[in-house]
Amino acid sequence: MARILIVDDDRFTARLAAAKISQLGHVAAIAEDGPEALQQVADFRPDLILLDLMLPRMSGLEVCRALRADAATRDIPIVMLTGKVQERDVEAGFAAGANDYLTKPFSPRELQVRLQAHLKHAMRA
Amino acid sequence: MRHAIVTALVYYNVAVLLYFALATCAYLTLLITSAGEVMRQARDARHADYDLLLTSPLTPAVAIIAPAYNEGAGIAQSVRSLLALRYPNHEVIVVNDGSTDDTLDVLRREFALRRIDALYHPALPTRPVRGVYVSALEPTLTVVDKENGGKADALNCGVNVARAPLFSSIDADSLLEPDALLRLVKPFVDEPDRVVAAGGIVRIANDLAVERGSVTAVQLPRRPLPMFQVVEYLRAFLAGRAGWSALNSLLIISGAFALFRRDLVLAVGGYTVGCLGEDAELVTRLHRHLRERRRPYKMVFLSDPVCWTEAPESLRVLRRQRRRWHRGLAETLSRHRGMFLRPRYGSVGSLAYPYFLAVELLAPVVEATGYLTLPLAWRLGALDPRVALLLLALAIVYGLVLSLGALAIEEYRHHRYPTWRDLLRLCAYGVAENVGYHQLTVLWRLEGLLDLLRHSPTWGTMERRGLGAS
Amino acid sequence: MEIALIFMLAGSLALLAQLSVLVAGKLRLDRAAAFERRVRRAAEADIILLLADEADEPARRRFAAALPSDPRARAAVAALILDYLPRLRGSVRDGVRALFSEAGFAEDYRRMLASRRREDRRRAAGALGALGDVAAFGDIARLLRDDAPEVRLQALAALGALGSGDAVAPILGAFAAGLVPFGPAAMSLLRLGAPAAPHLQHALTDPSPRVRALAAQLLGHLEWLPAAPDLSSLLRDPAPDVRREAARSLAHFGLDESCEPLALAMEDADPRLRAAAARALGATGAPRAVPILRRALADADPDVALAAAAALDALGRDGRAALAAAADADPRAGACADPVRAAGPGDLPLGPFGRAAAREVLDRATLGALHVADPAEVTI
Repeated sequence: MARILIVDDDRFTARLAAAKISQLGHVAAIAEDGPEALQQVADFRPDLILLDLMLPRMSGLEVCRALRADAATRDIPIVMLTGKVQERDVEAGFAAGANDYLTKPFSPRELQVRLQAHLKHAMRA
Repeated sequence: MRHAIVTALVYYNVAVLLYFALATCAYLTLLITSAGEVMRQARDARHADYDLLLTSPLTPAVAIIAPAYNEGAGIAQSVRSLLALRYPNHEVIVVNDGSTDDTLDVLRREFALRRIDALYHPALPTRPVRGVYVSALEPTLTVVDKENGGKADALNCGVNVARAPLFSSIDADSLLEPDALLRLVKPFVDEPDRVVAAGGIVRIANDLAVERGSVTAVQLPRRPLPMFQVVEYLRAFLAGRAGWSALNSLLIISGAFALFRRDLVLAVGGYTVGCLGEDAELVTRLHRHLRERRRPYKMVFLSDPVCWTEAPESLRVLRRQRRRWHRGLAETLSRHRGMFLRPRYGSVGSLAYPYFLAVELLAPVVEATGYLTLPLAWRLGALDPRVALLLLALAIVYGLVLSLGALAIEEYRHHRYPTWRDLLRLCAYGVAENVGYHQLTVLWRLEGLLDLLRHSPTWGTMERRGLGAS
Repeated sequence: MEIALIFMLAGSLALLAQLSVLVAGKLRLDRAAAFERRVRRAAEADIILLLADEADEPARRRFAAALPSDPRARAAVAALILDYLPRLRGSVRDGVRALFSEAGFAEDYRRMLASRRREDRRRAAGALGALGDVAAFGDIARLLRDDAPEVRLQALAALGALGSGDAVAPILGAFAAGLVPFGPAAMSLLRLGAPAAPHLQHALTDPSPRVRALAAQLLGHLEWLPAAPDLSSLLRDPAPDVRREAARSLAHFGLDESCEPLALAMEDADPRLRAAAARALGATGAPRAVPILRRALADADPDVALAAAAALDALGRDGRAALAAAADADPRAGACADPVRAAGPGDLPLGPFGRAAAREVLDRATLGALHVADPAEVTI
């Protein structure tokens, strides 16, 4: 049973992802912006983070970079959620340290598949 | 002799009355037109798919130009929130207008600036550029360091550096809502061959709950002075600009949050340096340019995209601001007096310009003389106190009609101030405005006109001091 | 005196009217908001569970059983699900579609298409488009000619969502007739995607230049390869907008064959066309584009010079070598004395902006910070 942190200011998507995650037998937590996310990472200690790129105040890229800069959180797999499917942003996301990306509109099924793959990978590591 | 004076006074008072009757008609017409336009926009906005704009290749690139003068304290946060705007392809160009504080150093440090050898072509002449920097952390941030030249000069510099087809002028101390740019760009996406400029609404941010550059809760200012300004701004935008937008005669688009086509601004020569109210002057010049060439175009005001700005909290600063604004208006109207009532300039020449000249510009003059002649008329026995009181009451009633009209539009459409207490406060200030605040603004606007007539030298120093400071 | 009294009365009445509008408006809003909040709170958790389950059969049955019987509440729930639908993709959408037909919502909407009230027509078109109800295609296409602009716009969006290439002709027709503006029409057509492309290619020969320009632009965004030769010929179209859109679109394809037509376009008087052509040449990746772009560095327009420099940067080793040479060239090197004799990169004239453009592009490229823009964008 893994702990997964969802960082998205779109409440609907966040709740849907959380419901899906619970369905799969894991525990989900939601953060609505960058600062809250960083706080939650410290408190909730997730095994994986779903990170929306377009956040208010602090961009998703900044959050990702902050997490990668900290030794304690450097290895947590990060899956970007992005509505911008332009190359430059995906590139930027990977450059900032993300492991994978999921496009919005959101597909519960795809989330399930990718989550399971990443968690399996993380468990092995 | 006395008889002659009395007669003159009576005629004069009648003239003043007629003036105010006409002005009131103009205000009311504008109010009704604005209400219609805001509702129409509401309908469009309700069904607009902004998420689609976010991912569409049709959404044009926008360069946000933020002139900065001695903004060391808040510049990093401002830039961050501009970079974080919900928009698919925008870049931020900060123009450091020869700041004497640590603005550039802060930017250099916070954003890992690296100097590049840039092609700077002064299509618009500006003060010399000292360097162009790009951020190693944020690929869409460019910082231009130049010698001080004032806001218009800094904006022109930004326009030179920008490559995007649209640019947005921003005040460094203002705060844009995350969706604001996306909403403001929509008219350009819908009608790229028509829309040439767009402006959003500017709201007062005093005492707003802001955390790390983002609005967390909307609340009204606590102090009275900003409260008066809230009512004024709502009137100006929702009961004024919306109407002019509907008539495609928008003469003023707030520089705090405006979006322009870069090629057209280049074609008309950019902002005029040394002119107060450079934003209105540019817009007026654009109208002129396009009408002269008979090119069909649109300039729109949208009440949806919001820019929050700090309003002056002291009388001294507010007075300076209002003097500057009125003087700027006078300068703009003076520069473009060739448009007055000429048929070639359509509704801009026949409606907007005359209105701004007769009603906006001259109102303080007429009102002031009205107040001054009152005691004289009374001394000479030409004043019937009942009439005077009745007319005063009339003036207040109509003033209220306008303020409440604006509030009604605000409430119906945007309901940003959701509690009953807020609404009551707003109404109360709308009433209280007429017994003091309004008269103060009349005085200040007069002072602005006098400044212009005297070619007051403070103009130069005002320019250098204040980009953010009002 | 009396006149003043009359005005006074009128003013007071206006005031009273406004105050009541304010109050009534606020009450109405409060009530509507409260009702909506109630429905949402009640239904949202169920809707989320439904969607998390991909709206499969058992989930749908559970959900349908829990639906309120009050028609207004049912409509609110249906509207809420439709609000969420654009944020979803994948098999869950099929599930929602099935739910709507099983619960009878789809039927209701189809009937509403012919309603006398414009708001109903609009909402119905929106719902059926979001649901992907292709059976309603004909009726929705007819709504493109509706009297109400918001209904037309919604019909446009719905056709885009329905995904049939047959929508292209009616959409272009409505656009040419000025019934729908450029933006929504283009977005709708883009949404159709590949099915629309062959029809758009056909529209490249439309008599209206606005339609040709629109088609040319969209074919680029859709990256519809078969249209590339037609787009190359459009580089010689009589209308400047069409030529520009053709050049911009060719940048999406990067075909070797486009080199020659694009090289010709580099001689056009319109600087925006030259800039677009430069960009497109960069996209071809063809070595023979390098000398053309090198010459373009000398362009009198800075945007063109920058576009040419950026294109050279994209052209591999040869391009970057030319760029580096231009960047290092002697700034005093003006026009080359004998252009015919010019052999190496250092000999070619760089015009007023060539060297600076090269330097800027090289610096920005090192930092990964190229300008966002395509200077050829925006038509007028």
